Amino acid sequence: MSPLSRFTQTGLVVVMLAFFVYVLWASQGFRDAARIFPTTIAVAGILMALGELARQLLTRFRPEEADITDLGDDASMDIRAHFVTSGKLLAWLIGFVALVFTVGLIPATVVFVFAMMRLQFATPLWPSVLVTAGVLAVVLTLSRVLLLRWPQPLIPIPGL
Amino acid sequence: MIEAMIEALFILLDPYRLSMLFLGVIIGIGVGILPGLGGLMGMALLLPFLFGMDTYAGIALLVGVLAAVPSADTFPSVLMGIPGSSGSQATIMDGYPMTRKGQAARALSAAFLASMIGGLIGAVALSAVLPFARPIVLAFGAPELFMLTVLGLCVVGVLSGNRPLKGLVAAMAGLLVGAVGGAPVAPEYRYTFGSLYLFDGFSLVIVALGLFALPEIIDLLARGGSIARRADKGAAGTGWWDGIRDTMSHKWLVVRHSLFGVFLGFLPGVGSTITDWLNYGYVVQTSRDKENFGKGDVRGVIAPEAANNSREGGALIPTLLFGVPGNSAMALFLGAMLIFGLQPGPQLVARDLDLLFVIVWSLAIGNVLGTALCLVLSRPIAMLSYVPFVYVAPFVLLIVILGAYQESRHMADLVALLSFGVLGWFMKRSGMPRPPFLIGFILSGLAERYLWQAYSIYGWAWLMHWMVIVIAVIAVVLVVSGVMLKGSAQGKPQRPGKEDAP
Repeated sequence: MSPLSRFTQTGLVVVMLAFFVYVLWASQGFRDAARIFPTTIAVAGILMALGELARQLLTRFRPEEADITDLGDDASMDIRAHFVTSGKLLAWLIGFVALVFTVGLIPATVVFVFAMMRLQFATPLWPSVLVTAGVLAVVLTLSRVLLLRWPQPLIPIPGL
Repeated sequence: MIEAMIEALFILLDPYRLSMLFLGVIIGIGVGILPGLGGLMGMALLLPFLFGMDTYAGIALLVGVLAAVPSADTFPSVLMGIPGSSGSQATIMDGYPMTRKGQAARALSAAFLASMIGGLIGAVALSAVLPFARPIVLAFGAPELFMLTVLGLCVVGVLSGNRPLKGLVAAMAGLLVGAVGGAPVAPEYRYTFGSLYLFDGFSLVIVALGLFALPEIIDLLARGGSIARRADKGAAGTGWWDGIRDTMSHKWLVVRHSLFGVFLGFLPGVGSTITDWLNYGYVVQTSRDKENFGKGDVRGVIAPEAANNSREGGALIPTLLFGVPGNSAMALFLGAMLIFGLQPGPQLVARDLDLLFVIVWSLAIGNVLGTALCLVLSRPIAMLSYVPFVYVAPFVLLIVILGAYQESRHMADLVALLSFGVLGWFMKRSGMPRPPFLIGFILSGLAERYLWQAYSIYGWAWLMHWMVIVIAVIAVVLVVSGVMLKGSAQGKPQRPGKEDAP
């Protein structure tokens, strides 16, 4: 397991520990019936999170295999580069959702798919156009067949 | 019982329901062939479209996915040496060497036939258990059902990853995220921060899509290239009949490993990876001539393939009868049943026997259909995984986002989707298993209700019920033996040609 992955696993357990502590604290204001369950689970969660942190502390200098249960890690990959690329992709997704919120799903889809393929993955022009058109066709077909609704944009574009 | 069985067959033979089963099989083959996308992803993508659907049709659709994935995930394992899903890893051991020897067609047809027989044995086992399970299940009260929930969570938490504590932490977090919104046993809204959106709690669809679909898409895009990185195009070759003859000549091997697969599927938390490797280890250990294993012995393909299909029938037993999902795909299946207003557990056995048999029939027919389709579509399917993922991702991503938005048609759906996507990605990257989180989330309401019922009826005296104690002992035994099983599965041999692995 790379140092970055180790740092991530410790960080995530700390975040979960904070979450359990908050749940325990907040649950004290509830009625009995609503309090028993979150209190019990939060206490159990705190104990387990502390146990996991202790385990990580005790094994911090020992080599540890990556957990590949769900193909989550790969010994051959550059973890740091993977984190950076994943961060960029996440930023694209956040941008897409912001665009959907602003101008609506259809224009946002066209802009997002085409721009991501061209700018992030440097896909050639025609494949990018074809995939964008294909995605648009799928979205429109699904909306007709399954009677789906789209988010109402802040700035609606007439005709879309 | 027999009448219910026959009635269920006629219910399923309705053209609409049969076409949904067929659609599920096609989707199952589609996700099974793409490494990284398993039955869980297929079911997560379908969940949003189940609302308003006929119950039997929706269930047939999902069971179709479940039945087809263990057959379809054989393609990448055999043809490219990469697992199509976590349940087809051991198939690589002998399947891929067979491909390299020009016997891919033989390996595939042997695997498909073994898968089909395994799937049918799984379906028969499920239906055989129902008559005996009914009186037992009906004897379970709230304390025992709560303990079963705890048992399932503990075992899944312990067995889902390499580090048991991380799995248990994830399960606890899932239980608490499931507690957001209105309390099931008191007029109280919890952890909503005054947001109307959170009053109903988080949606299962959004949590499942966020935790599992988004991280896979991001990871596959970040890795770049096509899903399959090998260039063994046209590797299927000839020898289809040889594989079928191989399976028929090893029929007792198929039956033995199918039954073992059912048993392992029945145990909550023993995932497809463990089932696959244990069966591979079992066939190697019990064979007299071991020297060809790892070099292209067809028995090394037949045994795990028979087991990974039959385990779906076994995994449905605790899911349907006790409401304790054995794995994350079963947790989603359980969630889908809740969407249809069906409560798994004693009530289901008592009131919806026809539905249980619809599931059995769907599993059996889905297996036969899936195998037949895999054989017919072998060549074109093998080419799919060479398509660069950047061309596939926009379609999958849009379906995920559309599916998430249909939940409550609120912009917050998309924010929640992204948030769970980030959480899922960090969990994946840090090796914290996601299935216990999802199972905890799904079981949260049920567990709280059982706990409160037990507490309000018996006080804390329910802890001394003999059946509660028995279940607690079973939990301890299963957890301990599970850790040992995991240890033996981790001691599996290295896959062949690892230096060539993508």
